[in-house]
Amino acid sequence: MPDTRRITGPEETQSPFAFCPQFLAQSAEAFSDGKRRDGRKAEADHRPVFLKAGLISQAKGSAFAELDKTKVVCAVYGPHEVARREDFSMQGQISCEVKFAPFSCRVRRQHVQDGREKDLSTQLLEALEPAVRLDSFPKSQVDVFVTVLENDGSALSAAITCASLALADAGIEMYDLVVACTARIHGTSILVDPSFSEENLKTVSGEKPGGQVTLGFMPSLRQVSALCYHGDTDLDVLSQATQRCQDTCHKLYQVVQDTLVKSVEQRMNNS
Amino acid sequence: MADEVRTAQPKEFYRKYLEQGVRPDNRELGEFRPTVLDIGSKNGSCISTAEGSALIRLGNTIVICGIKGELAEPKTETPTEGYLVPNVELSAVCSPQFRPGPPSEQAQVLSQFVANVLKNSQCVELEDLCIAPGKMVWVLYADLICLDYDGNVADACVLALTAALSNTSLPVVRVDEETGKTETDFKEEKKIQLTCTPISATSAIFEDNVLLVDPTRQEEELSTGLVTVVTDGKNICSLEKPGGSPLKDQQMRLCIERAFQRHTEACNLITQSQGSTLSTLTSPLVDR
Repeated sequence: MPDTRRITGPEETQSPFAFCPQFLAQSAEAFSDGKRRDGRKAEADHRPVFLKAGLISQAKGSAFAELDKTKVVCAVYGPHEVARREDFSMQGQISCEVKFAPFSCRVRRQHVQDGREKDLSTQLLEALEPAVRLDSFPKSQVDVFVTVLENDGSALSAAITCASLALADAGIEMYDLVVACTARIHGTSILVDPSFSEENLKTVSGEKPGGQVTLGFMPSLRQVSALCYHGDTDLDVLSQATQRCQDTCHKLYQVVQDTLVKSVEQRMNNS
Repeated sequence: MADEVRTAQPKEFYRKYLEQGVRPDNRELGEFRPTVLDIGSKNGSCISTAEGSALIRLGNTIVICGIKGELAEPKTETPTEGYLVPNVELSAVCSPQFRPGPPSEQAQVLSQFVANVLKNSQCVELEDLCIAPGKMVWVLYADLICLDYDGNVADACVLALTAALSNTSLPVVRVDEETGKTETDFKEEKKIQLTCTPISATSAIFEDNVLLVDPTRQEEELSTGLVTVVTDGKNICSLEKPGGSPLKDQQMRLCIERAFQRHTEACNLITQSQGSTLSTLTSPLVDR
C-alpha cells in the first residue's frame, strides 16, 4: 500500500552500493592480521566517546552520545498518565522507542519501524528497567525515545548508555546508571566496541562463526542489567568477552558521571 | 517571578515587552535567533553515511538533514529527470506533543511546503540527476528530522535542506549501453550544482499588528497567524499565509524585506560553514 502521508519517490529504488564489487570486499579488510583498520591499536580499545546531557529544550531529560561516528540522541518525557486504563499498575512503566534515521546507515532505511528497531526497543527497555525505581512513579509512564542519527556499529550499547544518562538528566530516580558495551567475537579475537564493518566481518573459513555480545552494566552495584548475545562461540571465549565488556563499562562510567555533573552544574548556573 | 507571569499570563507578559520594542529573549522584532550550521560531506563531519548532510540550530530548535542517493528508473513521460523526495519528520524526540508513528498533519504540511519550495525554486535541476536517459536516474531522498521543537521549524528545515544539498556529492555511476551492466565508482564523485539558494523567513503576527520574525514555540502559540516568505535572493519562490489575521500591504512588504535580509545572512552562513572543517565533536548539537 502506498504511503499517502509521506512524499514518496519511485516504487523501486536500488542502493548504489549494489553495483560496487569493491564495497563488499571492504568489510573483510576491517580486521585482518590482528590489526583494526580504523586505527585502533588494541582489540580492547574503545573509540573516543563524547556525551552531552540536556540538549533538547522541550524534553524533561535528554542526552547525546557519540562513539566516534556512531551518533545517538535520546529524549525522555514524563512521568505522565498511562494512556490505556487496563495498563493500571502500582509500578511505573517505561516505554522505549528506537528509530534509525533514514540516512543513518549505508543503505537507506525506511520510515516505518521495522523488526530490528522493535527488537532494539525491547532490548533497551529490558536494559533500563532494572535500574529505574519504578515504584517511585506508580500508575504513570515514562517515555524514552531514541533516534540513531548515524550507525557505525555498537548502536545498541550507545543507545543504552545514552538513554540511562537521559533518564538521570530527567530526574527519574534510579538505583544506578546503566553503562553498556559491545564486543565482537571474531575467531579468537575479541573486538571491543566494534565499528559497522567490524560487526559485518566475514567468517574466516575453518573457524567458528563468532558472535556479538552486548552487556548493560550497573557499575556501582556491580550488577548486570542486560546481556544480549547472538552467534556461535565457545563458552570460554564468551565469558572472556563479557569480562572485557565489563572492564570497559567501568571506564565509561567515569565519563557518564562527569557528563551528568557538568549538566547539573550548567542547570544551576542558568537558574 | 518573571517565569510565573510568563506561564500564567503569557499574552500580558509579551505585551509588556513588545511595547518597548524588544522580545523576552532580548531580540529585536526583526531579529533571528543565533543560528549555527554544520554542513557535512561524505568525508567530513555531520553524518558520514549520507551523501550530504547538515545540522542547524536556530536558538533551541534543532533540525538535521540527510541526503541519500538511490538509483531508479525514470518516469516514462520525463525520461531524463531524476527524483527529489523531501520528507520532514517531527519525531517523538523533539517535543511531548508528537507521538511515534505515522507523520502528523503538521509534519505532512511541512513536507509539502519543503517540496513546493524545491519545485518552485528549481534549485536542483532534475536533469542533472540523469545517469542514462530512460534507463536510470538518481533519486535523492532528503530526510529532515526535527530534534528539538522550539518554533519556526519551517525556516530551519529550508536552511538545513539548502545547506545539505549545497554540499552533496554523488558517486559516479556508469551504465554500459550494450550490456546494460551498471557499475558504481565511489572513488570519483560529482558535486550537485545548485542554481540558487532558497531561504525562508517566517514572521508571527502578534495581536493582529506586531510582526515577530523567527518565532519561538511560545510566540507561535500566541500568534494569530504566520507568514512565510521564501526567496532565492532575487525572486520570491513561495509566499504562504495560511489564514490568520489580515495584514496591510505595508506589513506584507516588511515580511518580504525581512526575507531578503535573511537570505543574505543565511548565504553567508552557508559559505562560512562550508569553508571550515569542523570535527565531529564540535557540531552545533553540542555547543561548548
